[in-house]
Amino acid sequence: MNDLTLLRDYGPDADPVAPAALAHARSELDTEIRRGHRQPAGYRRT
Amino acid sequence: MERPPPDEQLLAASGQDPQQFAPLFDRHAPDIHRYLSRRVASVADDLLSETFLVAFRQRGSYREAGAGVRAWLFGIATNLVRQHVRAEIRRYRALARLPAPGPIEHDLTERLDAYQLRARIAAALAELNPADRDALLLLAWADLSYLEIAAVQNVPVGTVRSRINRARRLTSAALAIDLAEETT
Repeated sequence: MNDLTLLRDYGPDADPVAPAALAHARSELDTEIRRGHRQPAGYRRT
Repeated sequence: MERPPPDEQLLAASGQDPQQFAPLFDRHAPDIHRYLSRRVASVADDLLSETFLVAFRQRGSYREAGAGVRAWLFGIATNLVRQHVRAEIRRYRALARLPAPGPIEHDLTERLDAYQLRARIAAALAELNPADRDALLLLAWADLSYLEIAAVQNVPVGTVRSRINRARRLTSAALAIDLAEETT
């Protein structure tokens, strides 16, 4: 087992994301989106 | 059945139609939360929210060259973690305060139990310099490629390679792994 595998398997655990936390973050984003920030110069593809 | 539009297409469309940005949250928020939670458990919820707010506000500055939208989002999350680096270090040091293991020879998983491994890994992460730690954890926990990490950190890929090699040397030493015997 190499160090990266150990890091993935035995590194600090992630707490499961609470549905309420996801919903809250999504709600904050939705509020920002509703403010309708349009890109002044437009999105540029390179 | 119609394929969902790719991330880049949604991001491009969101310049004129901000609602197009929302599906990016649904696609990537769980993975980004998992990454944030491993690094800064106590503020992961707040940083998840902030990551997408920053991304939405900065969507006009996204460039396709180098990294995709997923990597770009992880880059934003990583920059936000940097503002909480003390909380991150505190977390690792707390996890490291576990009974010290005895001498290690072969077959780590048999000779160290999971708690001891976790303690050693946490202690090693606490000692890395921030840029090296970011590169290593973007590789290990966010599954970004070297090229994506280079784009996220805005450095040449050779620098990413150096950072990851240095970080892996230190963590491997803490785990008593000989990197020369390991391949990734």
